[in-house]
Amino acid sequence: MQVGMTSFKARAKSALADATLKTAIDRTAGNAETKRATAVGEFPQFDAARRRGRKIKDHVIANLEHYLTQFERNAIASGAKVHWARTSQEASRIVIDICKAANAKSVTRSKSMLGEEIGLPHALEAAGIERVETDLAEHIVQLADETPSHIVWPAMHKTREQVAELFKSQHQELPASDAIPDLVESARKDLRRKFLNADVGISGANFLIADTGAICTVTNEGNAELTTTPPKVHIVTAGIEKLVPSLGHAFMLLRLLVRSATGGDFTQYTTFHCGPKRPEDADGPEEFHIVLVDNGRTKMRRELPEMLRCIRCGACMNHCVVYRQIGGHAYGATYPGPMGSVLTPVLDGLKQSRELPHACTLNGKCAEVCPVEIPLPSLLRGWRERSWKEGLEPVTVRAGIGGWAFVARRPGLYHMATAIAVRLMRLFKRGGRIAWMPFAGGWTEYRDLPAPPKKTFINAYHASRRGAKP
Amino acid sequence: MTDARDSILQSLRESSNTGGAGTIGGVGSDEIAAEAQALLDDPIAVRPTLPSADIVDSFITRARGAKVGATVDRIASMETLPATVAAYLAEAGERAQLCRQPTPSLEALDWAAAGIDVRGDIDDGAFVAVALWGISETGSVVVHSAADQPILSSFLCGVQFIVLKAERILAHLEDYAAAVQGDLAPRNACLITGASGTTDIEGSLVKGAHGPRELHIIIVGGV
Repeated sequence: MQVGMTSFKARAKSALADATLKTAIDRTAGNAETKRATAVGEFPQFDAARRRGRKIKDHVIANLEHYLTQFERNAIASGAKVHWARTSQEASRIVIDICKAANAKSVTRSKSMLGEEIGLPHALEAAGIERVETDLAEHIVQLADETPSHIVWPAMHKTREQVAELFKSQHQELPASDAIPDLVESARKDLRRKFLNADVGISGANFLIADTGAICTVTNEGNAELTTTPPKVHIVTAGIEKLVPSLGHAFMLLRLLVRSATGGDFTQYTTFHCGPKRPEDADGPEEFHIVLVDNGRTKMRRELPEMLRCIRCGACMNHCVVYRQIGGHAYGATYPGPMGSVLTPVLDGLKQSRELPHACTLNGKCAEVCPVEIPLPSLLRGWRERSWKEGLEPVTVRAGIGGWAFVARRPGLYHMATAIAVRLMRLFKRGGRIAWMPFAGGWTEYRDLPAPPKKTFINAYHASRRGAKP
Repeated sequence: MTDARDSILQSLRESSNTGGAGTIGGVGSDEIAAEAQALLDDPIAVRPTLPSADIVDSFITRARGAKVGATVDRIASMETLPATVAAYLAEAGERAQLCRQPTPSLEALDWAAAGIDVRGDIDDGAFVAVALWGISETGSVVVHSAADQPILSSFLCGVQFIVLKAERILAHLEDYAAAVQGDLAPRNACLITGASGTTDIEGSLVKGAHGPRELHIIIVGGV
C-alpha cells in the first residue's frame, strides 16, 4: 500500500480531534497492555526466552539462503508448489494467476499482513474475484471499506456501536442487540456459508518450518482452518524472513509471540499445514501453493537486518504513546506504530514517508516490550539521520536546525541569545507560568509553559563558582 | 518464476559475502545445523514451569484455567464415554445428538444406550474426536489430519468433545516436537487450546467466533 496523499501531520491532526477513535483505541490497546504485563509476569523466564528468540531469528537471517532452499525442497516433496516473488506486484500477480487457473469466483482470506502489504485485496477486486475476509476484525474493516489500523486487531479503531451499525446495514443475519456476543453471533452466521462455498482460500504464515516444508498459522477464531480446508486450492503468501529451522524453534518463538500480542499463553488454534490433501485424507485442498515474497527484505537484510527479526506481535504499537493517540490509519501505511515507521521507508521509500520516523518521542517503550529485542528507537533515529543526509527534510526545518547549530557552536553568541530569550519570555509570565507567548502557540494551546528563572543556568553556574572561590 | 528465485537467492548470497551486519557468509550446512541445534539447548531456561509435578494434574490446571477455558472430565475407561458425553450435553441444555470422528475406538461404543443419537451432519452441533496428544504446558490437545480425522469437523461444530488418553499427555511443547521428529508431517497438525474465541471487538473476549463455543476434554485412564 502506498502512503496516502494527505500529509501525516494532517492525518494525525484529524485523528487527534476524533474522540471516538481515542475511546476505541484505549479499550483494546489498554486491555492488551494489561494482559501482556500479566502474562509476562507469570513467565519469569521471559527475558531469557526473548534473548533466545532473538538469537533464533538472527541465525535464520544470517543463513536465509540455506533455510529458503531447504524449505523449498521439503515443501515440494510434500506436494506443495513453491513460487517466488521479488516485488508486491509480482506476488499479487502470482496469486491472481493461481485463482484464475482455478476458475475462482469466490476467495476466502485469513488475515495476513503480508497480504495487505502486497495489495492483495485490491488485486482480487481488480481481477473481479469476490473476496471474503474471515478474521472478524478484517470482516469489519471490509464492510466499512477501510484498511486495518493495527496488525493484530485490524478493527481496533471501531467501537462496538460502530460495528453494530455496519452489521445491521450489511448482514443477512441481523444482530439481536448491540451487545458484543450478539455482534459476534451475527458475523458467525453470515460468514459460515461463505467458508463452504469458496473456490480458493488464502492465508499468510506466522512461520515457515524449514525441515518439514510446513507453514504455521495461529488464530484464536479458527478462521484459518475454515479458510484453508474446504476450498480446492490453498494459497499461502509469506515473507522470506518467516523461516525457522524446525518445529522446536517455532515453539520458542510462539511463546513470545502470543504473550506479546494478546497476553495469552498460546493461541486457541496453532496449525501446521504441510502440502495438499493426501490420497487417504478425509479433507483438505487439492492444491497447496506457497508464494515466498521478498518485497524489500533482501535489501533490509543488508541495511536493517534487526528489523527482519520482527514476528508481528504488535506490542510496540500497543505501548506507543504516539500510536495510542493517533491510531493506525494516521500513519497512512500497511504497518503502523513503531515497527511500521521503521518498515514503511523500506517499502514505500523514505521520501514519501520521512515524517513517520519523526512521529516518535524516543521514550524507548517499544524496544522494552519487543519480544525479539529490536532496537526500534535506534532504527527510527537512523532513518531521521538518513533523511537529513539525503536532504529530504523541508527547507524550514533545515534552516531552523542550521540556524540553531550556527548559534550552538558559538558559546558567546549562544549565551547572549539565551539571556535575551529568557528576558523576553519573562515578559509573558503570569504567576510563574506562561499561558501565551508569540511563536509558542503549539505548546501553550494545551498547557502552560513554566517561566524560566531570571538567570540562565550558565549565569547561575558562573555566579556560584565566583561565590565559592576563597 | 525461476528468475525471481535466482535473483532473490543471488541477492542473499551477495549480502552474505559482503559480510553485512548480522551475517556470517560462507558457512557450511553442518555448521548451520549445529548452530540451530544449540539454539534448542537448555529448554528449561526459556520455557514456563508446569503448575504441578504431576503432568496430568498440570494439564488439567492449564486446560481449566481462564486462558484456555475448557472443561475437563476424567473417566477410567472408554466404555463410560457415551454416558459422560450424554451427561455433559444434558447439563449444558444441548440436544442428545452428536457427530463422531470416524475412528474404530469411537464407533465401537454403544452411544444409543446412553440415549445419544449419532448423526452424520455436523453443522453447529456436537462433535467427538480422539486427540493424539495433550500438552500440559499450554493445556493443548493435538489432532492430525488423516483418513479417520477430518479437520473441518473440529471447526464447524458448536460443542467439541476431545478424548485424551492420560498416557498421551506430554509435559512441554518441545516434547511434542520430539514425539513427531522424523515422522512424515501430516497435512494438518492442529494444536487446539480452547474453544474458538475472538477479542476483535473492543478487546472483549467472546467464545464461538466461527468454531466451537465450548471445548470439553475427557481424559481416559490413569485415574
